Order: sequence, then structure tokens, then C-alpha cells
Amino acid sequence: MIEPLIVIKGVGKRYMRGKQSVQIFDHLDMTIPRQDFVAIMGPSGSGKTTLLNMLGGIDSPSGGAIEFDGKRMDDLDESKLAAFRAGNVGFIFQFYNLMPMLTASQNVELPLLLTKLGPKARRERVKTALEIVGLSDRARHKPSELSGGQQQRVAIARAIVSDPKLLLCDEPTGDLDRETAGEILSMLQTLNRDLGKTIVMVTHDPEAARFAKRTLHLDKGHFSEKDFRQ
Amino acid sequence: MTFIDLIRKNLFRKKLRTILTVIAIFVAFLIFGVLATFQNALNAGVEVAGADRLITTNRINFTLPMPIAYATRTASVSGVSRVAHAEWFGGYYQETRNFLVAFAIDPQNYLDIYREYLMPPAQRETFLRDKTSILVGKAVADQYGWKVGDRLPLKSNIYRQKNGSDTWDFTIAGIVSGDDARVDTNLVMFHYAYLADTRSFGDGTTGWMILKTTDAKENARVMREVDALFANSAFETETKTEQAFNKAFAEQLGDLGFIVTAVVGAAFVTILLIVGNTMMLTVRERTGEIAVMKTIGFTTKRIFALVIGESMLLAVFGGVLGIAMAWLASLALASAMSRFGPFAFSFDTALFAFALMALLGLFTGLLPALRAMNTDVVTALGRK
Amino acid sequence: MNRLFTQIAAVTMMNLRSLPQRLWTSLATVVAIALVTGVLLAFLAMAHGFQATVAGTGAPDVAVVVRKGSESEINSILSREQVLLMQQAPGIAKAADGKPLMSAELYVIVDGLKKSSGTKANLPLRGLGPLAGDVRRGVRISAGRMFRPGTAELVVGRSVSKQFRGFELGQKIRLASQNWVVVGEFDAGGTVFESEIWADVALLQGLFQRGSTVQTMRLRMDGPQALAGLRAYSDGDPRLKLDIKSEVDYYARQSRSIGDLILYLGWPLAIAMSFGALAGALNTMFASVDARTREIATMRAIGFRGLPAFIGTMVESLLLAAAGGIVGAIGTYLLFDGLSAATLGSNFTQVVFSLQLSSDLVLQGLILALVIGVAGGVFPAWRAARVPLLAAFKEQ
Repeated sequence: MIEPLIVIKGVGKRYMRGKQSVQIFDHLDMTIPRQDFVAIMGPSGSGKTTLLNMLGGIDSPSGGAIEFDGKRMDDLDESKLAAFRAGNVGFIFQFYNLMPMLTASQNVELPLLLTKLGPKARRERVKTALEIVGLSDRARHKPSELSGGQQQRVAIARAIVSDPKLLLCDEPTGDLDRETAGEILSMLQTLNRDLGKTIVMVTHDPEAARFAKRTLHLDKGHFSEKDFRQ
Repeated sequence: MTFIDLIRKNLFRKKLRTILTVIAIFVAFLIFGVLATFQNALNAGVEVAGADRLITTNRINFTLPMPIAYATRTASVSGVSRVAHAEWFGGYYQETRNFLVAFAIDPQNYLDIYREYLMPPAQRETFLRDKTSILVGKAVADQYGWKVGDRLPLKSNIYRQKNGSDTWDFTIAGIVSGDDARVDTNLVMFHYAYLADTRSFGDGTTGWMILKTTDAKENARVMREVDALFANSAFETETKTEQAFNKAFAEQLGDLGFIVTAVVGAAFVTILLIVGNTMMLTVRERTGEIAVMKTIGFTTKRIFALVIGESMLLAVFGGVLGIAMAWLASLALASAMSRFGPFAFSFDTALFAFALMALLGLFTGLLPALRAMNTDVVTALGRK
Repeated sequence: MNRLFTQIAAVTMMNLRSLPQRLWTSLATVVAIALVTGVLLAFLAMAHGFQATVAGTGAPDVAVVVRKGSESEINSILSREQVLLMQQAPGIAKAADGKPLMSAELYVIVDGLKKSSGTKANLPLRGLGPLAGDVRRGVRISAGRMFRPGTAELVVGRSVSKQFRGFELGQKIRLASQNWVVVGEFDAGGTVFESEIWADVALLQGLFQRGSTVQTMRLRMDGPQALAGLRAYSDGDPRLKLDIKSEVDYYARQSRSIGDLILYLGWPLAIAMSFGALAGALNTMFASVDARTREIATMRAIGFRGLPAFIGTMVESLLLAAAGGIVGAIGTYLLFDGLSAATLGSNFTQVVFSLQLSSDLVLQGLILALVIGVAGGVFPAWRAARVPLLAAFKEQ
């Protein structure tokens, strides 16, 4: 059997809100196989985003273990985590989070600055990434000159440009109209199907979740699985 | 795109703010450059002083005279290789406000000791031969537009001629330049003999002596022996190294060093606050972006370097402009300021300015960079 | 009108209440403006102190006589014959015994050791005759007594004993190859004379091989109008090629060059620094407006006008500038007012003066600060007044 990409074992998360300790998860278990596309739904405050952050190595669990590609990653130090994120994870946010002073292609190039690729190789990669998201003709535009959907496509190009195994999406269509949202979600489907990206997507929207292979409901610190595709 | 591009794009994102900050830095470095040049002008005499040169003055005060015969007696002290003497003329050109630094010198010895004064050999020959000729420093010649061969009438606010006239007529024999930008050429020099033969009082006296020693190591002994030679006479002497003499002379003006340091200090504290403040503002506004960069995989070190790099670039940008302007200003002011000394922008000042730029960049970037480095991704992203 | 005023007051108060949120930014601006004001005021106090000392010296009815073309006492020389001729000039006041009130004086330079730096500096040693005290009024012995003619005794100005080593009352000191005793200290009302050392003129003539010549004469005139008569008398005699000025005029001229020099240095420096501070103020105020954009837009949406936003921002800027100006003035006052300094005056001797801040100077400093405040406030205020209503609904 092929090894799963992510294994979460008994993860707990507690944080301080003022002087009170708040428990989000107590003992969470989860396995994400390679090339999965999983949607995570749940009410506000259920810990969806916290979970996503922990998978991406920008937040760490209070207990338990997270394995990525067979290796523990929850106990890595800050600089190793940064390297982990640069090499393995692409993030897509609700509000795109592009750098306003950079053009579309420069935004896409940003993660490549952390690699050893030369200028020429970087240019090739950026070009390919923009082609995949269908924005080659907007390469020289600044974010302020692009529509919401276009900005999100630039963000997707940025997420895939360094060819990570895992894409983490936090409400990727929360700021878009239905039609544009459909385009973005189809694109994620394509990335999952054709390029074999493993995708974990947090969303409020059952319509969006429908694009995933499976949906997990997170509530009160526990999962319940439902398959919308029947 | 490179990291430098990234820093540059960040810096010029809010153009107005960056331009204003650059102006503030520009002004501080302009002030520094001009005041440092001013201070150098005042200290030039100390810096170019010959290590093997001593100045002997009247012990009571250097403005008082001493017998001309002292020069011959001093020359016989062992360790003294050459003695020249000079006297303050109190000269001015046409009107008292055109005040000149004019010395009546012992020509051959004086020029042999002060080898930093350069002139064509022919001009030197003419000067040594013609008792009523005068050497004019380049700074003065430029100021008044004097040329070799011009007739030059000078007046003195001290002396009168025996015939009652208050004007001495000279012919310009040569124009003297310095072998170093720090050599002061704001002076004129003529034959002591011309003054001594014509003035109505001051017979047999001169102002001070310049001694060249065979070796700087002999200085201390020579100083002692020369002063001992004239002890208990009506004209006791005091001998100092040229450097010590020039330093004491410059200090008479007051504690200008303190004033310059205080003003430059105030200007730099001001920009430290302004630039530091602006950088802090900038980083605070970019909290979200910094979080995104961290998410993408930028290490905290890289984030730190990006912010410090930005403050450095800012400091160097404003600083280089300010220093360039100070250099231009020193050229423009050179003749107006020549009375304080050779007003020349020095390489050392530029080097020091670069060190200041580095420090400014570092200090103004440090706190914001630490803040950026410690940006908590989860909180910053949660803010949206 | 009244409603507008209420609006302005409300917006301004909101503005000021939010100041603590921008505490460090605002403080940085205040300090920057304070430093600019401080530098300006320090230079102004220096120039003012120097001019007050030098220009405040002298009486209008005392004439100073020097050789023509010598400009200052140090370069002058007067023969015995010239002194005797001048005594007979018209318009000179007479003492009770009928002698003309005239003082023939020597003015030579000796070395003093500065207490502050330990370096040698030129001090004027003035030789005085018996009538000198009657010619110069406004000088009184504040400690000890006057020197006795013919003895090696000195009296020193208050500034000399304050700034230079070894001039305390009763102290023995070697000057001009002679051992002296300091027997008195005099108060000359903060004038240049307080930077001088006085001794018997006859003794100095001997010590300095001056024979019977002196350097300068002071004559007490019947009144300031007698000056023209004195000049006419001198010009009419070929043996007398002299410059005669009233003492007031003589010192006023001397005060100009150096006093002006300090001003020419101080103002350009302060103005240059102002541009730096202005840049800081503008950045701070633009940031303030940016931070309040949503608040301002919300107020506009509720029905407030643009003018209150403009005035609120201006008030904030002016307040910061005024605070900076006041801090700068107080700082200068505490650090520098009354501070004693010395520089070379026109006679190539040290003139001791103290830095003096006056209400007039402080006003100039505050005006500079407020100019920075106005310039630093007006553009940001303009931006505040034109915040689009939509900004209230934007995300972030």
C-alpha cells in the first residue's frame, strides 16, 4: 500500500485567550492519502483554520504528532519549518494576499527566490505556472489592475510554482461570485487530477465542498465524514 | 527579480513618504558634510604641520616681538638644521574689510622650510631676487583676480612708513599653491627686509621663528635648549612643535569642535527618530504581507534582512545625495570660507559619512526588523 | 455656523483622543521639532549673548582715540606728543582740579590658561593711568581693592577669574616676565571690560619696552555732541592722524562681525534641519490621517462636513509642533542659558560672554516650530478633508 501523505495522530491544540485556556482539539486523528482533495467544513471556531495552519507548519500542535511524507514535522524548528513550507506546501487564501507592489509574474516568482534556480529557470517556471492558471496575458499587471478571480488565479500560480505536493486553501472562493468561484474550484480539481496535487480546502460553502473528493465535518474537535458525490 | 529588487520595490511603494524621508536624511548628511569640511578647514594647520618643525614665540604671548638677532643664535643650537623668521603685517587691500593674512618673511629660509608651497622655479627666482616683490597664495589670487606681474599696494593696520605713508607697493612675483588640498593658500608673503628698512618703529625685531630640526626625535631637546638660550633676557621665548602651536591657535576661537559635534549630533538624532519611526510605520502596515511571506517559506532571517536592507538602502540613498551636495557646496563656498582655512571636502569625510550611513541604516532598521521577524503568522493572518 | 463649530470641536476632540494610539510616532515628531528649535535657539542665544556683551560696552560721552587705519586698540600706537596735543582738544570734561578727564592706555596681550580646556588663550592686559576710573564710569571694584600705581598689582574682570586659571583674589601670578598679585576684582556690568586684566600703565611701558608711547586714549567729553569738535581738532593738525569714535560706536562695530557670523551660521543650519523635521512631521500626519480614514469616512457618511476633518488634523499638527517648540525652548534654557563661552574678539583677545535667551528669541524659535507645524499639517489635512465616503465600507 502507498504511504499516505499526511498522518495526524492524537493531535491536541490549546491556546490562551486572555487568561483562559481554550481547548480546540483534544485528540484528533486523520489520514490524508496522496492525491486526495479533501474539503473541511464546520462552524466558526471549530478549528478548521487552525488545523490548516498546523498542516502547513505555521502553527504547531500542543500535543500529538503530524507526519508529512513519513517524517515528523510538528517538532521542527523555525528555519526547518520555513524550508518545509517553501518546498512542500502552497497556500491559497481567501483574500489572495498578493504583494501590491509586485506584478503578477513577480508575485508568482516570489517563492522561487528561496530556491537555487537561476533567473532563466525561474522565468520558465513562472511562465508555465501562469499558463496553467490561464493568465499569461496578465503577467505584467499589478494586483490592483486585476479582478478578484484573476488575483486568486495569480495566487494559485504562486502556490504551485515551486511544485509542492500539498496545496492548502483557506476559503479560496469566499470573496468571489458564484461563477468565478466555480472557475477557481474547477482549476483546483484539475490541479488535483492532472498534476496530482494533494489539496486540503477549508470552506463554509457546501457548493464549494462538492468539488472535493470527500468532505470532512469538523465539530467540537471531532471529524465526521460525508461523501457529497454519491 | 532578486532580493535587491524586492527591497527596492518595497522602499518606493509609498513614494511621497520615501521622498520625504530621503529629504530628511539628505539634509542631515549635507549638514554633516559641510560642518566636517568647516572643521577640517580650521584643523588643517594641525594636520599639515611638519613633524620636524618648531615655532619659537615670545614667551609672554605670540603676538609680541623678539629680536631679529635670535635667528642667528638659534641656528647654532645643535639639532637645528634651518631657521626662518616671520612677522605679522596686519595687511589689508584698499579697505580694512579686505583683510589679508600677510607675513613679512626671511625669504630663502622660509621657502626652504615650507616645502609644501609650490610655484614655478622662475617665479621663485624672481621673488628671491626682488626685495619689493610678493608671493600670493592661490586662494587670495583667485579671490581678487591677481596675476603675476601685477602691482599690488598693501596697507597695514599696524605699521607706518618712515616717510609717513601707510601704503607699501609690491610686485607680484609668483602665485603659490599647496602640495595638498589642506595646505592653506590664503596668505601673502614678502621680504622682511623691505618692511624692516621702511617702517617707522619696530627696529631690530621680528615676530616669531620657525625651526627645522634634523630629526623629530631631537624636538624635545631643541625646544628646551632654545628657550634656555634666551631665558632671563628681556625677550624670553617659548618653543613648541608647529602642530601644538597651530592647535592652540585654532582653539582660541572657542570650542568649535563641541559646537560642530552638537549640531551634527542633533541633526542625526532627528533623522534617527524620523527614519526609525517611518520604518516602524512601514513594517506595521505590512504585517499581513510579512505573514504571507513567512507562509510561503521566507525564513525569519530573510525577513529581517529584507527590512534592514530597506533601511540601509534608504540611508545610503539619502546619504549619498547629501554628501554629493555637501561636496558641491564646499566647492561653491571655498572662496567665501577661505579665511577659516582651506575649505576642501576630504576623502575622510566621505568615508566617515558612509560609516554613518551604515550605522543609520542599522539603527533605524533594527527595531522594525525585529518586529517583522517576530510577526506571528497565525495572528497576522487571522486579522484579515 | 454654530453647528459647524460643534462639528469641528467634536472631530478635533476625537482626533486628539486618538493621539495616544500614535504615541511613539507623535513623540518622535515632537522631539525632532524640539531639536530644530533647540539648535536655532542655542545659536541665537550665542549671537545675542556676544552682541549684548560687546555692543553693551562703552558710554556715548567717552571718546576712544586710536591711530588712523588701526581699526582696533591692539594695533594702535600713540606718541607722547600726540597724547599731550589731544589733552588740549576742545570739549573734554575737566576733573575737580581742572585736569582734563583723559586716560592714556596700553593694551597688550598675555597668555591665560582656560579653565575649560586647559589651553592657552590671548588675554588683554590693559595699562591704566590714575584718571582711568573717572573716565570710565560703570566699573566698580566688587572684591578687594584697586591696584596701587607703580606696584606689581593687578585687578581682573569678573569673567577673567571665572574662565581662566590663577586669577582668584590674593593669588600670585606670573605674566609678562613679572610676578604679580591679584588685589582686586571688578564688575563692569557684563561688558567686554570684564574680560580684561588691568595694571599700572607706567609699569607696563617698562616691561614691554614701549618707552613713553601708549596705544589708545579715552577722553570723557562734555557730552556726545563734543565728538565732532574733537575730530575737527584732530584733522586740523598734521601731527594727529587719528581715528576718534565714541566708545559706544567703537564696540558696536566690533560686535557686528562675529555676532553676524554666528547668526549666519545659526539660521541656515536651523532652516536646513527644519526640512528634516518637516519631512518627519508630514510622515507622521499622513500616517495619522491614514489611520483614521475609516473613522473620518464614517463621520462623513453620518453627515459631518469635510472642514472639521481638515481643522482637526491641523490642530493635531500644530499641537505637536507647539509642544516641540516649547520642549526645545525649555531644553535650551536649561542647558545653555547663562552658559559662559569665550571666543576671539576683534582685538585678537578673548571675549568672555554668556549665552542669553530672551523672550524675543524664544518667540522666533516658536515661530519656526509652528511654521513646521503648519507646513506639516496642511497637506495631510487636505487629504483628510477629501476622504471618499466609500472608504467607510472598505475591507481592512
